[in-house]
Amino acid sequence: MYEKEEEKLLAMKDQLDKIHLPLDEADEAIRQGFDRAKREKARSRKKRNRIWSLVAAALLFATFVTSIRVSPAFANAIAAIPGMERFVDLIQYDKGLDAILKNDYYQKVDAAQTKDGLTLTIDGVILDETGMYIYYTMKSPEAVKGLSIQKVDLQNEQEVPPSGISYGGSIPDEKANEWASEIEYNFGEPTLFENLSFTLEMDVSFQGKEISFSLPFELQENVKPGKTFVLNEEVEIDAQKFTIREITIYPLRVAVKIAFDETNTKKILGFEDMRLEDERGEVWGSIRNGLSGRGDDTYFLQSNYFEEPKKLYLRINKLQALDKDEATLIIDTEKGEIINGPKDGRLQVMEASKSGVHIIMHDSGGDPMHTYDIFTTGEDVIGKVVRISSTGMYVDENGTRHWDLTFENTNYTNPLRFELTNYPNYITGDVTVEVKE
Amino acid sequence: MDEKEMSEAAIGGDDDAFLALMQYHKEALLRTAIAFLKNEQDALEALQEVTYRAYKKIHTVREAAYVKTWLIRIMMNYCQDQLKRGKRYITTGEVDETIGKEDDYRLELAEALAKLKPDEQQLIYLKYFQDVKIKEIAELSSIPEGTVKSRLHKILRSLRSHFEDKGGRDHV
Repeated sequence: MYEKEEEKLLAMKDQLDKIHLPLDEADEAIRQGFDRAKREKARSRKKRNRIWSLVAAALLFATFVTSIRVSPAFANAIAAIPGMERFVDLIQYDKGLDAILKNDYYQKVDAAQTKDGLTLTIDGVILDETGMYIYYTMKSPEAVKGLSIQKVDLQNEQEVPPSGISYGGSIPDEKANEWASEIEYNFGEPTLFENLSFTLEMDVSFQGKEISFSLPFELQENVKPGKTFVLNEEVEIDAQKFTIREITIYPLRVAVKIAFDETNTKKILGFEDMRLEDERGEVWGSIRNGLSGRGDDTYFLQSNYFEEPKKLYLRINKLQALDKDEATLIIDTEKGEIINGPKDGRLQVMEASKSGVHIIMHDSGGDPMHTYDIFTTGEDVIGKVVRISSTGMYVDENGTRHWDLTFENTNYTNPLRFELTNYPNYITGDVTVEVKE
Repeated sequence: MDEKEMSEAAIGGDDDAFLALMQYHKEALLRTAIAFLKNEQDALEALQEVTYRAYKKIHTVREAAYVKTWLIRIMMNYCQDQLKRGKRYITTGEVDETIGKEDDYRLELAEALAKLKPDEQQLIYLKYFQDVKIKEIAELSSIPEGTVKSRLHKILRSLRSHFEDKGGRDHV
C-alpha cells in the first residue's frame, strides 16, 4: 500500500548504514558511562549503609570544591614525606589528612604485583574504624593512557562492610607510564580488624585487556579507636531546636550526631557550615555531608584527631531549612502541576509525563558547577515507591537549574510526593558548643 | 557466550556481561545516535549516557531477546530529549551533508521524519532502520500488534501526504 514510502525509507537506511562510526572512541564512552553508574551504585548500595555511603559522594565533592584552596606550605609538607610526593594533588585539600601524615598514621606498604606488563604497587594506606585510604601506583613500560579501574574489593578474614568506594579520579596523562591514585574505601559501619592481613582485588581494563590483580598486604599497626564526647546539648537557630548528642573523632573523619526537636516548624535539610574550631578560631573540620537515619542524624566533618587544641568548639551558623508543610513536593505528572512545595515559586515544571518530569529552579544561586539532587525517591498516593532511574542536571546560561528526571516505571497513581533533600533556602544564627568530656 | 546468554547474565547483574553486551550493540547504538543527533561527538556522549542509564535499569528487562531494541529505545529517548531541549538544535538542512547529497527526496524524507511526533519517529526508526519485528515492538510497548500496524500505516500515510504536498508545490 505504501511501497513507495517504504522504499524511500529503506534507501535512507542504506545511506545511514554507510556512515562512518567512531567505534574506537565508543569503548571509552561505554567505560565512562559504566564507571559513573558503578560509582553511584557503590554509593547507595544498602539502606543501612546510607550514612556511610554518602561519605563517598561528599569526598568526591570535597575534592572538587576545596582543591582550589591549596596552601603551598601544606603541599610541601606532604611532598616531604618519602613516597608521598606523588599524592600531593590528591590529598592537599584535607587538613585532617595533613595531621594524619605528620603523625605517622600513614602506613607504608610497598606491596607490588605485575600482570601482563602492568605493575600495581600499594604505596601505603591510612586505616581507621571508618575506612581505609589506599594510595597506589600503576606502572607500565608503555604509556598507561586509557587505563581504567573496573572493580575494587578489599578483603580480610573478617567481613569488610563495604559502602562507599571511590577510586580513579584523574585520568592518566597522554604519555606518562606511571599513574598514582587513591582508593577511598569507606566501611558500612565502624570496624576493628583482628588480623591485619588484607588483600586488594582490583580489576583493570588496559589496552583492551582485562587484568585482575589480587595483591595481599599486611599492616603493622592497628587503628587507634575513635574518641567519643557525649554532649547532649540543646541549641537553637531561628527558633528551630536541635540537640548535639555526641561527637566521635576518628582519624579520617568526625561523626556528629544530632537530633531535631519534633515541635520545630521547619525541616532542617542540611548544615551549610558546621565546623570544629580551636580556641583561636581556626577551623579544623568542616562539613562533608550529612544524612538522616533512625531519628538521629549523623554528619561528618574532616577530622582533627591528632591535633590537640586546648579547646574545641562545634560551630554552626547557616542551615538549609524549609517550613515543614513546604518540604514535601507534590506533583501531578499527568497535569504537569506542582500541587505543594516551597512557596517562593522558584520551582517550576517544564515538562511532565508519567515517565518523567523536567523541573527547573529560578535564581538558584550558589556555584553553578555545584550539582545536587533536590530529592531522591517518590511515593504515589497509595504509598508505592517510585524510583528515579536517571537524572540529568545542568545549569543553563540564565542560571536556571534543570533536573530532568526519569522514573523507573509509569505504573503509579498521581500525584507523586517527594521529600525535598536539598533546597537553597537558609536560616542563620550562631551556635557554639564546647566539645569536652 | 552467545547473545542470549550474555543478555541474560547482564540482566542478572553480571558486570562483565553488561560490558560485553554494550560492546556487542555499540554499532547499532552509535548509528541510532548519529541518525538523530547527526554528529559523532554528540553520539559518543549519548552512548556514554545510555550506558549509564542502561546499567541502572537493565534488571528491569523482562525478555532477554529484546535487549537490543530496549537499548535502542533508551538511545532514541535520550536523543529526542537532547533535540527537544534545544541544546543541539539541528536544522533539517544539515541532514544532507551527513546522509548524502545525491538524492533530493532524501532531504525531503528527513524533513518529513523530523515533523513526526517523537513516538512516531521511534516506531519508523525501529521498523525500517533496525528491522525490528512488529511483534517485538508490540510487546515492548505493551500494545497489540494490530495497533502497531495501524500506527505505522497512519505514519506512512502522513509521509505520503507530505510528499504529495511538496510534489504539488514543486510542480506549480
